[in-house]
Amino acid sequence: MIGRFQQFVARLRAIFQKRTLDADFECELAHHFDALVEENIGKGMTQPEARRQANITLGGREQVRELHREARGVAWLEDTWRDSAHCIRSLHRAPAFTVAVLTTLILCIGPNTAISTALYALVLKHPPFAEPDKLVNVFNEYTKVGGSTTRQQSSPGQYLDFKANANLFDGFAIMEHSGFTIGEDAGPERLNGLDVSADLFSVLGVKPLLGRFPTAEEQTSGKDHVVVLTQRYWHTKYRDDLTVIGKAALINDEPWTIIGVAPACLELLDGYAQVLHPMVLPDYAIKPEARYYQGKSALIGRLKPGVTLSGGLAQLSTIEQRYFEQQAPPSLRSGLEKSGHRILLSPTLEELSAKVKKPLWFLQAGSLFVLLIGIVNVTNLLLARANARRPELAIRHALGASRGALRRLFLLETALLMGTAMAGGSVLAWGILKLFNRYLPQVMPSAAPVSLDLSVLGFILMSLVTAASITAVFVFGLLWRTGLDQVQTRTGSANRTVRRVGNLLVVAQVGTALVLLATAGLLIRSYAKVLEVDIGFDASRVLEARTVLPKTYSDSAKVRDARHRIVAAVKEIPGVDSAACVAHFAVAESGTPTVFTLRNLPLETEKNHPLVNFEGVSPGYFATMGIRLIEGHDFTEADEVNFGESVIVDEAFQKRYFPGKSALGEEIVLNSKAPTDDKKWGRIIGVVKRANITGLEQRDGLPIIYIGFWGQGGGLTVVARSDRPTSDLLAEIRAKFRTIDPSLTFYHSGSLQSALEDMLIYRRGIMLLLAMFAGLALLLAGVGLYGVLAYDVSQRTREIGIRGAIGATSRQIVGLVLRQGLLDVGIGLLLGSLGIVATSRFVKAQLFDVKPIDPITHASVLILLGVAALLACWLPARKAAKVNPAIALRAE
Amino acid sequence: MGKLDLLQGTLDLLVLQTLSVMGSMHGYGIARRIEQIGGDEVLLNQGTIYAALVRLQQGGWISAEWGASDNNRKAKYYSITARGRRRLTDETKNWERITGVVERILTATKGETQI
Repeated sequence: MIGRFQQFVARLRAIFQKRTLDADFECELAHHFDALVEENIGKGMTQPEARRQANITLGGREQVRELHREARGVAWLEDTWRDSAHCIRSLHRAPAFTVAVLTTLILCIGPNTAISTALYALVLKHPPFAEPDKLVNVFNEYTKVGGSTTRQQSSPGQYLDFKANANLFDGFAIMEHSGFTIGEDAGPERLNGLDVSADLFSVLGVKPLLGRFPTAEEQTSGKDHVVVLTQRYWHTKYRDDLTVIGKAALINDEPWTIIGVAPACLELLDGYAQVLHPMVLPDYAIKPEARYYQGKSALIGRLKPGVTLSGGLAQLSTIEQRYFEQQAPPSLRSGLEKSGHRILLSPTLEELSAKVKKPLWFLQAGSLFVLLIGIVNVTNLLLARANARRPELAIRHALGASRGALRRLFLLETALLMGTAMAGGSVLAWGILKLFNRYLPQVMPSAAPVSLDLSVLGFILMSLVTAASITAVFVFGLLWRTGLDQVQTRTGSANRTVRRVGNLLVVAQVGTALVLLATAGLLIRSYAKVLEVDIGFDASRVLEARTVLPKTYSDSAKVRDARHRIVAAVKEIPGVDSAACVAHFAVAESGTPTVFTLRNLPLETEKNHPLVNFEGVSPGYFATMGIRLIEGHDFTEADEVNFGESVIVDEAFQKRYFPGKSALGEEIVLNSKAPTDDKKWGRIIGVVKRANITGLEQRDGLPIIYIGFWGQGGGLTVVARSDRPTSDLLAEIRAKFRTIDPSLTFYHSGSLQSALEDMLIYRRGIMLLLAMFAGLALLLAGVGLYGVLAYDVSQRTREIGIRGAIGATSRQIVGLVLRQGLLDVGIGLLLGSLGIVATSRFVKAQLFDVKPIDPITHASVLILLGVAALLACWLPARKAAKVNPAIALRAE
Repeated sequence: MGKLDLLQGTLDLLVLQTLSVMGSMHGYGIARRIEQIGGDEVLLNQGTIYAALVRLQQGGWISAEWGASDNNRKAKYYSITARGRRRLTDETKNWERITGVVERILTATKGETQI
């Protein structure tokens, strides 16, 4: 056994020592030969005769050399090497074929690899939390609010209750967005923070990168002036300074201690976060009646081993029910009953990738379709080439090449092509991912840039090798079965079986291309429809900048005064036509939903408690934004005192709740129940045009109601209307902020137009990629069709020549080829149409204002594909018509 | 009667046996020796000896070193290794068993056809 192994190793080594071994053997052989010659001369032979006999005794020197080489090396490896060289030469001699196959494969492999990599990195790959599949997010779900099921985050009250009473869980952690102002030499900066409970780290099972995490003790007011930096912030701000631990940072005007740096995986929970801070649970937030009002905290639990999702849910629901029966105030109970409240558990892994998951699978399906068409094309090309090589193969076979040797040649050639294509495809994928990473933060801010992954590449390489082997064996098998010997080297026309397989492949291609084209068409139309939506405000001329009033602005009078001074200062800037401020971001996808009650319209009769988005705005907001006032009047400074006293609703609200009537003068509160005091009703003082500040796709979303910007402190966004360039103006606004109060931050700034466009990145990205795939599919299918027909025509030159000679007109010959091609196309289109119906269910979710079966789109793609197919058929048909009978027959 | 065509694989055995008896030898010497002992009954393309030598050397059953031949020329000398001797013993036993069996079968068959 050892001997055999040693032998194998020695043989492998021998391949690489060819030259030395050959020289050695030459010397040995010469010695043997000379000895034989001497011996023969000794027997009395002449010199030439002695040499001749010596050669005979040895068995021919060349043969001996060959024998020796064979014995010492690994024959198949050397053969493979030789065959590879042969394959490369022969591919080099067929540049059109080689380029066609390589281009097709690279165009298919590149996008596929890129999307698979993204899918793997963003969706399939688990974050480095301990047993991440045991982590669940807890939500409150309302089945009867706002027309559809809505999800709300959890509250500190729920966190404490579950933590104390849910024994099927190993722990719970809570976190909430928060903002900090950090003092800098160049002026204060706004920090995105995350308030977290100290148990977050043990629940996730992560260790600090540096320093330590906060303790439970630091979750009390006064002891909480500590922060943990996220890795990204540590990197950009502190340049990976290892001595940062224990240093002080001026946060909210007080020196806070930096106690640690969190590992990068924590940024998966919130990609915007720069610092983590121990959450101090305020007393009001944990009162029983605040259990749902404070529903803005993410609650993560860890299931004990062996506990299922439904088991965990059942326990939390029971605890919730107990609260409901024993602690909930009666008014809350009736409200909750009406809203159809229940607890919802969702695996954290799914939550993390929820946003990109569907589109990525969608795109993966699209790119797989392209790959399918590509492989079909390549198979077709290989088939055509194999058929054309019949004479060569037959000669090789006749000269003694075995079936295995010929098959090995096929395998090698396919493997060579696939390997080269894989290399090219990887480079293309790398480029695509670079582009992808540029847009990723806008879609999924928490995600780290995606880079090529060895395991994904390995997987794709393995699939390719498998596909290549199957294709090669299939092609060779087909060729072998139909018989090499049938070859008529000069006049042989395309083999029937080979032709039929070619036609089948064309049908499959056309069908697949149609499905892709139709889907891309629907997405393009959807995008156009979204762009057609009336924005309802003047996005191109308005920009926004946000700031936060520090705690020193302690009462509402001071807050109002500061706000007025800020708006007045911005208005002073030359070129600013008007300015105003709003409570939330001026344009934001999420909006701020709230329940409401109308005095004269009992909504209780409806099964579903309605929601609206609300926005606090200052006087002059509508004029600045360019939102047209339809009825009533704008807010005045008097409306800025009491929350919800004066209300302006948009058209959508009026249409929904007062169809055909005016909402002006109606009474309303932003609460789920009517106030007991008559004076607490708010009044609708105006109706404005619908402004899609929650994004164009939210046209039919929740109505928006505006209330006077009440005396609340904290954040505010300034909107300014001007024709000046955005960057200049923003710099001046920033300077104005400083003159009012040097501690004012300046962040989230830019034009509303770009904010709106950012919201469309998602849709645009999917549309562009799928359109690219569809274009690729169209091209590949066209080329495939052309290739099959052109090859067919070239193989039938003699037949066509005879037809011409016995009187077929060129029109008849064109018809002959066209008929054959268009029959395949027709069947393909028919199957593709069935495919469209089958896939429409999956496409539906991505559409806007377009039905999954859309006559205009489908008619256009049918025509597009039809014309392309006609062109692809007509070119070879014309070539056929030009066949000169005399020349074709002379070839005989 | 013509010369005997060597059975596949037997050449390795003959080479091992030769080296085991004669000690260190070069390729030509081994070939000559086999022919002599075989009484010129063996049909041997002397070149084939080198395939056997390579096989045996790669397996570590024989070793080789360069030396000077009788007429003072450079030649490669082969000698059997300890492992080679073990293999020779095994193969010899094996060979005897095979020839024994083959002989028994052949004689038995003759007997049957005579009946």
